[in-house]
Amino acid sequence: MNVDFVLQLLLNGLILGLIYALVAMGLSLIFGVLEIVNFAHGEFYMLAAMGCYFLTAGAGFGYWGAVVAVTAVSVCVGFVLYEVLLRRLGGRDFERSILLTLGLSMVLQNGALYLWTATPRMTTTQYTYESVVLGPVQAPLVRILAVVLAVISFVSLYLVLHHTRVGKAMRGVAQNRDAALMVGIDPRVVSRLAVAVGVGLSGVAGAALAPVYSVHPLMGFAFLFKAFAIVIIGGLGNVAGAAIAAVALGILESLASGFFSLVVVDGLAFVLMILVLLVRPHGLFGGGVRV
Amino acid sequence: MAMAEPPILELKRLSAGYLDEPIVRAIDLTVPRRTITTLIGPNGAGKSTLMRAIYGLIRRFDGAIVFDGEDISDAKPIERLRRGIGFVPQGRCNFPGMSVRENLELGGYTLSRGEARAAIERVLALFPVLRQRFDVLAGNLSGGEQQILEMAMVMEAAPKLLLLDEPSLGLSPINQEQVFETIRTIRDGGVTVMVVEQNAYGALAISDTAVVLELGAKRLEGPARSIATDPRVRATYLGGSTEDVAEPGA
Repeated sequence: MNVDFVLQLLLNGLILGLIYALVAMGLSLIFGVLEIVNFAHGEFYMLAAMGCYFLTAGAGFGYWGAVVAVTAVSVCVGFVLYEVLLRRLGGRDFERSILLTLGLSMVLQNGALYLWTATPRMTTTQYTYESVVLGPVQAPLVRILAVVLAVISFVSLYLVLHHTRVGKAMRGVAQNRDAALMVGIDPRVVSRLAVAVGVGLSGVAGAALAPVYSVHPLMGFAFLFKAFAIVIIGGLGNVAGAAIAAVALGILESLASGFFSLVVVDGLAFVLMILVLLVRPHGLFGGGVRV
Repeated sequence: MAMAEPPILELKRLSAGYLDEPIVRAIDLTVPRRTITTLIGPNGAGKSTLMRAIYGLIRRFDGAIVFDGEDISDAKPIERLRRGIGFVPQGRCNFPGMSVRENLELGGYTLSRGEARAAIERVLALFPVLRQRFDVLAGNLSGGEQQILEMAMVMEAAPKLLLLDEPSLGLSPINQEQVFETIRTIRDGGVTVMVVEQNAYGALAISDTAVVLELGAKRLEGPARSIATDPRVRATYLGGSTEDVAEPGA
């Protein structure tokens, strides 16, 4: 076993973990603010990745054009999702919200299968064959850019949540809905924004991932359950907790994949989730209070 | 005598509830300005329901709510807040993972930035205990301090009418005393206060008027002092001796 190999695994794990984090944070944000578990979340990530493929392969978009377009469309999809489907759901409609988002997930996933078949596709951009040398490790540029996109998204989300009025209002609704109503925060305005930001984050994730791995219509569903495990490990509704758990899981998975079979790797998230639930039922970093 | 101001709040045969059936029925009530009114009554009498109806959180079946001379029967809660009704619900009602500073910033959510800054200064002057705890997470304050923080958050919008649902619930006697003192300060600043209290003696001691609710209807209404000493009320709702009643007003 050599050091370069382990460093390579660590870098891959970091990238994977950051992509997990983008999806899981959006899921956690939507759960924290709306008390809705969005089962369709993985499909938006899949659609963004597919969108990135088609924009670069068929419409002549470059890397940055595709990333910006896919993210912008995802944010708009989030607005529409809230206005059309989620707006009428109250806090007591938990079962309905599950059926609704699960149904949407089926429609999107099977619709994508019908249109595009299950064939994996590789996204090619102007950066595909470029790489960066970082000390002993050589990394493809698209992987480094995935890290950059994820970090930009985290910093932006942090700044919005902690330094803007509407971001503080989002944390407020997640922490105490009655108190939000008491000070005159309109839960609909905040919820709409939370869904838009959440779906936007999975859009960034899809766009960042598409040039790195192959994309196909079933990629979202499996990913979603892993994201659930991450959200539970990090503490339901705790956005920062989800990000930390995601990066940790990505690195663990990547290291495990260097030494064990793929089956072990895919089970890791769920084994960890069960262990965390046994030891700390509210997740490693506590529940929705610290959005 | 000069022409009198209209009362701050008038309920005209108000019926309100949650699903298909009203819980409070045909309530007539007139609340004069700059007074403290206590709602008392057994559990399930509809005290909290009436508060929530005045803030517009539940369904109104019949009757009207007139606030500051205007009919607000169909206004949404946020609209009522803008017009000058503040409501502090029962139980802990702040943002526990945020500092007192951030809680107060959100308290000024309906105001412009400049107004919010001025409002925070105003409530800090009114509730100096919060200034000492400015950077502490709200969840780490004592129960009494949290209740005062919640009142301060609502006071930022400069309500003319403040509705308090069980402000002393779960507090130690010293903290209860602190909360009642604060309510009196708020009233002395020109705000009308309506309060639902499990500590009826404590609330009656600072109140001007008391309203007794039973089974969703108004049973009695009168000066707090005479309600507190009314033998029927004592026997039914207060359970205790008149010696416990402090001088009202002070």
